[in-house]
Amino acid sequence: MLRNYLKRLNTGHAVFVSCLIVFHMWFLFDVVSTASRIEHVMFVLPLVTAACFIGLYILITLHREKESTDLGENHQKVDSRIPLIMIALCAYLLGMVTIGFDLSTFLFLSCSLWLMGERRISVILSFSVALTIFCVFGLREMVSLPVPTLLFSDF
Amino acid sequence: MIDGPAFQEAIALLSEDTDAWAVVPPGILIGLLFGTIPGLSISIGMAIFLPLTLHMEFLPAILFLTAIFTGGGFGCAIPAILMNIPGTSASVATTFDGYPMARLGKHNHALGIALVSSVVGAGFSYLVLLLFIGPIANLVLKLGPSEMFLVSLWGMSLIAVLQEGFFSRGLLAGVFGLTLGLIGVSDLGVFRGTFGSAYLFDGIPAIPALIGMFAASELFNLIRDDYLIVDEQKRRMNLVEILSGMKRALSYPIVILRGGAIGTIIGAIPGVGSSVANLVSYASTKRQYNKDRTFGKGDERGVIASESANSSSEGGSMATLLALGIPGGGGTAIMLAAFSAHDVTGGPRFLSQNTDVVYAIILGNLVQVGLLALMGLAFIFLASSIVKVPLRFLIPTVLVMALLGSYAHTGNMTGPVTVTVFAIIGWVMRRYNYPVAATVIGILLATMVEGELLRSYQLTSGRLLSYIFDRPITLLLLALFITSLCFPFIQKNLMARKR
Repeated sequence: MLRNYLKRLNTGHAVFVSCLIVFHMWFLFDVVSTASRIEHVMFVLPLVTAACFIGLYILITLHREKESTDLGENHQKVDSRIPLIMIALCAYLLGMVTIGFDLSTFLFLSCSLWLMGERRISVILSFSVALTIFCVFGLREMVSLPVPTLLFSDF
Repeated sequence: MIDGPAFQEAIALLSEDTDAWAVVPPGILIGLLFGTIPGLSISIGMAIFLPLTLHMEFLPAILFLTAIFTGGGFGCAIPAILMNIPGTSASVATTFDGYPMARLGKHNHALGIALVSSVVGAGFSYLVLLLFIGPIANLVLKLGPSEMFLVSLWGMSLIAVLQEGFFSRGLLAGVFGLTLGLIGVSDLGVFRGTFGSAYLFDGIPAIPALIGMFAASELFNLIRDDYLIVDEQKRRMNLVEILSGMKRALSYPIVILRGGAIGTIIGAIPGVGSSVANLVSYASTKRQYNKDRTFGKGDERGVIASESANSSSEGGSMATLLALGIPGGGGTAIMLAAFSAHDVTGGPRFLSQNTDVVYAIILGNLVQVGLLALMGLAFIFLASSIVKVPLRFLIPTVLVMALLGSYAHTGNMTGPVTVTVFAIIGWVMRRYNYPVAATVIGILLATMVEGELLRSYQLTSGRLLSYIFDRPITLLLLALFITSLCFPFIQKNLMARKR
């Protein structure tokens, strides 16, 4: 029975639900560790209990899930570019605080345009430069926000 | 009802003050722009232009800010329909059917529908406000913490119900959002789930989380396509289709008026209003008309229900601001700041002593709504050209704007980090059919829900149950909440019996 259940289980989904349950449990322990009055856990306790019960219910009934093709367009095979764009986004985030908003925006745009299938170097460069200047200048001048930059420090 | 002499004075005030009219069109345009650009919310637009109002008289200043508010209210529908990015939580339900319509090449039609629904909804709410501002304010005053707690929970449960076939996932997504929303320092001063990071002391910023979950996660899925609309013929900008959409919206007067009524009433509830109103209106319309299961797949009535409710909630929130001096959200809070900058205090005394000014503000807003119809038409004609942009340019551009917009929102790196983290979480959730809307609304309402529960507990010295049974509104809301939770099971049983 267990083998049959595991065979029909959508592993990715099961991992996701398990992560949600673990997160809720961790949150409850974090709250309880500092709680000294009933008010501190009054809302959190029922909330986490509900999350764990619903999560377990989903896990138990997961094997009944229809074949992936019936679950809509979101459930298609993952396009290999999606994780690459996610990695580029994380690198962009890191770049914002290390090499500045201007250079990191330019690099992210160039990289993602290439990943998305644009192969004309002139288009990649001109588009990235134009949008970088527009965004960084816009943030600074329109919204009056201090933006850490490497190249456009004298804007 | 209407105070005749004050009404006449209000008309005189508006007809004499040309400045009041000069600032309205730029205000609407600013609102449309800030509502349309992901990350730049209406509140940001109003905050940026607030200093400008210090150089204006009181009436033009307020009309300028309300013009931004009105323009932004509709502006948020544009990215919601074209890119599945609700500018604020008030446009969440617009994405449910608006975006599928756009993907089917009916973007012109959907935008036209949204414009008329917004205009009629907002116009309706201001008319109601003109007639019943006093009673609405008194009704809001009667709502205690237990009612606010239940309204918030009811709104949350509606999203779970809307997720057809995946009710338990909808509930889990909502509960997950509520838990995420509790991260930070609680009302009682306790640190929860902050990992010791000072960036999380104020909790997870809701707008960046919304952008990440809706926009960025959807953009990841769009990588497979070349354009937002696959069929080249359907990508063209078409004024006739926009106009036909506008006409079409008027063929559903009941849906619009019901949305308007729901929006006006729920919109008046501070903090919850617009976030919940669009969902309640959408859910009630879906319940009535979803016999062919077209909702969620591009049903125009879904867009009408959501847009009429979120625009009319603007009028509701103005009721509490003008009559009680209580801001319902970010936008009205900035208006309150403009009030105090002009040495005006909103509230019952302001309402009774300056009825003419209050009427002038309401009438000015009614005219603004009419102007929105014209300016919005021109604006959506231009905005709908976004579907002609190849996705290989659009996706990186929107991602960059989302990150930088969130930086502008929070003023530090918390915004961009939140967008990125929630983009990835949102993508995983979408993949397994969890409604990201439920999580976002959960994040938005969590602290309020908990706060209201605690206040109820403290007010009753722990005797919550007897308190609830003494309050008929609480009981009614409790019944609505339980019904909406049980609705999927009741529906399932009824359908099984029919078969």
